[in-house]
Amino acid sequence: MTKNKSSRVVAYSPFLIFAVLAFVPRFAGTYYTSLFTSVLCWVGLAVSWHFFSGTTKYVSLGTAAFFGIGVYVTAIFGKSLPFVLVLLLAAGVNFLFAAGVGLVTLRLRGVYFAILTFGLAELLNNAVLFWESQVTGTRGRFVVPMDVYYPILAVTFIILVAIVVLRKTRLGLGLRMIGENEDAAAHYGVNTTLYKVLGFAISSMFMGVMGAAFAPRWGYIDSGMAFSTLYSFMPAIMTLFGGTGWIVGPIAGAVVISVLQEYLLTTFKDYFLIILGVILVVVILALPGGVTGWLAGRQIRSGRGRWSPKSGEARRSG
Amino acid sequence: MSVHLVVDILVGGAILGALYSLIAVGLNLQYGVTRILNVAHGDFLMIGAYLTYFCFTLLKLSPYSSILIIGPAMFLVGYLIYTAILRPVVASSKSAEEVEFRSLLLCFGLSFIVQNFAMALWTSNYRGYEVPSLGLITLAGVNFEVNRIVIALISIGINIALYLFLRFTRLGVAMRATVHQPVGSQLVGINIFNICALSFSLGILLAGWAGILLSILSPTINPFMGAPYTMIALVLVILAGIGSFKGNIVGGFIIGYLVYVTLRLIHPSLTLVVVYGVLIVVLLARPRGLFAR
Repeated sequence: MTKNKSSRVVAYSPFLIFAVLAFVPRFAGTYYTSLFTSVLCWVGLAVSWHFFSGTTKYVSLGTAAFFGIGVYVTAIFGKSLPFVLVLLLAAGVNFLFAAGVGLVTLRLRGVYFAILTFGLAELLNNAVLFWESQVTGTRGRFVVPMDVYYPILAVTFIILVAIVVLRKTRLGLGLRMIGENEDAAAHYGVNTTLYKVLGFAISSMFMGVMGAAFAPRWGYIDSGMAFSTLYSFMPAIMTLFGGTGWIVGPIAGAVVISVLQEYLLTTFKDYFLIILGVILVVVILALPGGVTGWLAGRQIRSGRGRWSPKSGEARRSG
Repeated sequence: MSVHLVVDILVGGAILGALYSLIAVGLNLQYGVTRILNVAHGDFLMIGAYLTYFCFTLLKLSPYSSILIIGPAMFLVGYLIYTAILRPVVASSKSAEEVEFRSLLLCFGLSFIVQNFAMALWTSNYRGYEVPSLGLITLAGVNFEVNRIVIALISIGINIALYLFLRFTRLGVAMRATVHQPVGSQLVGINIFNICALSFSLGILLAGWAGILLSILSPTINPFMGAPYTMIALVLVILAGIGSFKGNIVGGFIIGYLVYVTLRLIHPSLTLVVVYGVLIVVLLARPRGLFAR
């Protein structure tokens, strides 16, 4: 009886958290609203990265490419289309682009996928630079500035709900199985290529929508900002820091690392990426299940608590 | 098209091709033996270029003779990195896939550390030095810096030396055996951990040497110069096929010519587009490389 009640509270608590978050701009100052905007954006990106790369172990090093495409969709169509349509357009463009990338590389096992995604953001950066220098003769673009707190909040909420639901579908389970053992998955009748391409396209679609929703925060963008490698690096370190075993991992990782990043940026501006890099190395070496996996492992060993991640990944690390 | 342009492209493309095959050969060896995809490869090349710059400006050492100092130094760096952070990952992973997943992300983090470390130490300004000119050589009416020709010859020379090493020494044979039969090579008594550590360090050494030669070719040293070369090296590894020496040379020249033609005739910022074009064609047509058996 009490167990049922508490699990219902757990199930509804995300809605409660988002309801509370909706009041942040009213009560918190501009600084905290802006901080919450960044944190929510990183949560959305990290969860999207985790949905494909964290689950299947096919490492995408190209989050910035999809984020940047989203930014450019807003920059190009923001003035002529309603914002919701811009977001949908960004979703469509990214889905198709990522499906193309996936069809070329995910037929194959192994490192081909990581290699193709590694330079993708830089490729698009160069292509945009070429286009701007040769065709339009401009550098960067103006975006109609807008307060993006509510769009980001809504997009993050939709991404979270969609991914929580998707993880329970055939697709989500198939992706998890591919991550555990791809041969076994194929043997059990999972169409591995289709699942991988679809999973990657969906995850990249979310990243693109996030980029499109985030763009109006800057009044002016150029390709270097939109395709910055930071957007490829951060979701990966956030997910690994939090733990790849369950969805709470990337969420917790994104919150902790983005707040930490804010602190490091103001105090150790020149060293913040070195520190984050070192954190990533230490986490990979010492905490393979991430911080949440480690905590869960401790709970299990001491025989207390029930909040164990469902996948074996985190438990193994304990 | 004038004759001059044709000669320029023939020679210039070959110079780039020779250098590219040197840039990629270290990565190919590293990945082939250790299965660690070192996406920080270009950043070690950047370190090599900086070291050359400082050897030249502070110690008045010619870039060519700094090969002898920078090589061993980079080897040591590679050995320390492997034993300190990569070997524990290999030892604590439960499957080959897990090794690849964790070491790839580790190298990705390493690349950010190295780049930003270089930026904190040396700022993000472009640096370059005046390479002592060895004169000009005239081929069919086109002038070439002798330095550029020498770079190409050294690249080829290092490639050949490496080939001989892998072909005829016990250590080299053990490395090749590990590429093709990781389990079998252990069965015949090869200490695979040592071989992996040595191969990884050798790869870093080769990246450092490539950085020296690159700094002679183009004086634009900065902390973020590495990533495009990582990309070229990665594509070349796929194009060549893992563990294929012939493929590495032939592929190096293919990409060298394509990039040089793009540079000269189309637009410099499209070189990466060309490299990606090659990658996609290879992935669609021959994903196991040019000389796959």
